[in-house]
Amino acid sequence: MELEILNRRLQRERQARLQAEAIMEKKSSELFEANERLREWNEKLEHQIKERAIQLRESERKYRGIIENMELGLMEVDNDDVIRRVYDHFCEMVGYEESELLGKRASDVFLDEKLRAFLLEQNGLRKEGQTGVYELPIRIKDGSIIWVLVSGAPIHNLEGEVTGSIGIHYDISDKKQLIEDLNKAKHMAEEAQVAEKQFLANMSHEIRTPLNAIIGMAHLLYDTQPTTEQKEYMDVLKNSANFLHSLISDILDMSKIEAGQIDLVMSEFDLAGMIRTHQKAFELRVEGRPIEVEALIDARIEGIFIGDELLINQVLNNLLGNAEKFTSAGIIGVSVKQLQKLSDDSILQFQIYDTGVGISEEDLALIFNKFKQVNLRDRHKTQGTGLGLAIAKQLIELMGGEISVQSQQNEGTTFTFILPLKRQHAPKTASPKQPTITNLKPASWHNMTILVVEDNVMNRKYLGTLLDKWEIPFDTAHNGKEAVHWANQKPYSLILMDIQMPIMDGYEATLNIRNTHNPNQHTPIVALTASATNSQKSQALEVGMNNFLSKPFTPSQLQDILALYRPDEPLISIAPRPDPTPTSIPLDHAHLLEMYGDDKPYLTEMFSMFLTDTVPEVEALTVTMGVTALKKALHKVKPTFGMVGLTDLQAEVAQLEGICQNEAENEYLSGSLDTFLQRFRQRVPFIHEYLRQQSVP
Amino acid sequence: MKGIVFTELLEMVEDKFGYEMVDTLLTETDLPSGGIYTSIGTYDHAEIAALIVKMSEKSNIPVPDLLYAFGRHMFAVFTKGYAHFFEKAADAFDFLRSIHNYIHVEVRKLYPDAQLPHFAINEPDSQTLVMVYSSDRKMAMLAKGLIDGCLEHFGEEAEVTMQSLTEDGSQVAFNIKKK
Repeated sequence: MELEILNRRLQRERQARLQAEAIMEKKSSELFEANERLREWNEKLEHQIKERAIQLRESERKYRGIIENMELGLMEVDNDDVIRRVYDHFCEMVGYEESELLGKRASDVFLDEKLRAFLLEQNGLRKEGQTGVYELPIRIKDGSIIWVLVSGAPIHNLEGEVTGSIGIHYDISDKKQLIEDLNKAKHMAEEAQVAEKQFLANMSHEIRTPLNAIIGMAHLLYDTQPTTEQKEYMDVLKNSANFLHSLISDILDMSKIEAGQIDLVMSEFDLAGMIRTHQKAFELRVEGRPIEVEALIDARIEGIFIGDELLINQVLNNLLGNAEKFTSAGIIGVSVKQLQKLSDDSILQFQIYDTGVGISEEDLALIFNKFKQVNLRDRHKTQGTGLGLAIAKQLIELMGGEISVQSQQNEGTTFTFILPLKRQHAPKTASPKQPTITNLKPASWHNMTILVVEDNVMNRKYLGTLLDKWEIPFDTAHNGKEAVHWANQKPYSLILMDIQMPIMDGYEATLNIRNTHNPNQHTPIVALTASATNSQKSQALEVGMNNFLSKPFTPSQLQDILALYRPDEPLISIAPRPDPTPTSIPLDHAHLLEMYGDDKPYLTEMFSMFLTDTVPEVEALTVTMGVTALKKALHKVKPTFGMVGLTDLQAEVAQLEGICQNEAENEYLSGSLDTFLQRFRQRVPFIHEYLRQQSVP
Repeated sequence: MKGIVFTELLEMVEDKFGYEMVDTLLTETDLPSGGIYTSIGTYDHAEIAALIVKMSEKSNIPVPDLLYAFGRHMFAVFTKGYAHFFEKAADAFDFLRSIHNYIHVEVRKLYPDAQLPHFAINEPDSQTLVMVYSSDRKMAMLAKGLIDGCLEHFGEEAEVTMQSLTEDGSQVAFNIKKK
């Protein structure tokens, strides 16, 4: 029995062994196959890793190449600003080897003391993980400074902590230099522009001064009993000089327009009257030629308009002059009609037409260009600068209008321009017109003494001849310094003062006379100026001059000025009733008598005060100060006008004060204020003159 | 079921009762494998159940006791044959905790066809470990033997209580509380 069990056990053990061997066999072959597969996988993996490594290297090489070729210098620093890695291009940029930089603080190597704090601040931002872009001047190895544009970004380790920052540097020294050069160039250009303006003012003076002498001398020649032949020559001389004068005026006008130096001066004027005046003037011009001059005026255009009378006159003159120039027979004319009316504003259409040679279609496009003249074949007939139409166009646009032209060759041309103008609807205040004195009797000038200050010998001769002719005694000074000398010697009734002179100019001489104790401290000074820009005019007033006389001037223009300052006019009418319309000295003498009686010192004091205090205050009045402030200022100066006998102006101030009610009337107010100021300026010389006479014992 | 379970069961039987008992079991039990077992083979799990039932019949020892004894025997076998699994564990709880997520994972790598019981772990406090046994084999007592063997191996003392969660004994909770 035991044997049987043993036998069975043996049997079982054998079978189990065989089974195990079979399983082992199977497992072993499975293992082998698995091994094989593993090996294959391994090989595959290794191959992939190799490929990836190559790709990575390629990619890195590519990006490095891009960065190096982009001329960007890269540098890495740690959190303490210590340089950890420097790329080739950065080394080239700064001139250091990488080995010279590693381990050093970047700010110590590259930055001046005062910039280090800035970099520290930037590094702080990097530590917070922020990027930044900024410009920085850095000192490179050779000691020079280059400007770099730096883009800084934080460097993170695998844990995401900031371990430092990488700076990408781009050399912008050339651009900085360019900006600096451009600024220099701009500065130079601006200086050149200032010089150009100065040149313009000087040219105005230099050209007009001798021209003044030529025109003046031509006038004087007529008084020398010339023969008919000589008279003919003189006519040519006078006409040529006049033509030259208008040419220069055109060029200067254009320059002024382009320099933006033309300011609109609004005043009241009679438009219909102006058109008719032009018609008459051109009728005279075309006398003896088969040309008819028409003026067609819309019946609705009546009464007073507000606008720049001078500029509108110039436009009409230029356009009519153009029509006349190109028309040998037929009609030239001007028509004006109202296109639209909106309360105070009127839109007016002006047409200036002729039956002249006309303009070809291709020339029409060029006609408003500067220095372009059409009909060059008839050059001898059509002299001019070619600026007339360009000036007209610019002036019209300046006044808010526009111009167009239609033309048929050999049939005629029509210029049409549209202009918005304001209508004066308020009752026109009675303004005493500035006295114009004609037919002067030399006898009444006897006790006048004049100081002529003029550096130009021709102008001195012209003035001297006129004064001699009128038997007015005068002294001459060649420059400001001589003028001051003469002014200290004896009192004059009037000083005629050139502005631009050697040694001492007219401004300085005036300042000198006005501010030192001398017999002529209050003597009227009239500026003789050829270059009458607005800034020069205001400068003249500022230094204490009283009036202007633009060169070249005609004898009658000089007479008008002399009349203003004639001392022998009875200034105080002792008549019991004041003359309601004073003819020459528009002061309310009755009022003055009532105020001052015989107390001359009091009168002198009040008049002086008016000149020193009130005049600047009035000159400062402007709409831009705001309606409320203006009203207040007007109220303040109002009573002082009565103190010096300007009672009519006092009434005007009261009226202005009344208009100062709302902002909407601003434009109307501005126009009225300008008109008032003009009148005021015309009157100031009388105050001077009155004061001067009262001071004479 | 893995062959090692059969060979170790028979080994234990031979140790305790001699080969005659082994021979009796193999001869009298209906075994499709013919009772030929090798530790590296795989056999129908019904055969182990049949062998244990037969064993209980022959020895008059109840089946749960036999399973418990076998569990303790198996743990001893494991500590010898698979020592590296025990080196990593600091104590008994540490080891028991790691059975499902570590040891069973490793076992499956070696024997992809192995069918292993599921152990859900819960630790209500630092002194208590609750292991929920889930298996269609319904051999929770074998598991208890293994648990006790484990405690003995680490030289720790704990009170192990069993609670059947299902009537058929396919889910049993072991509450192991350190003393």
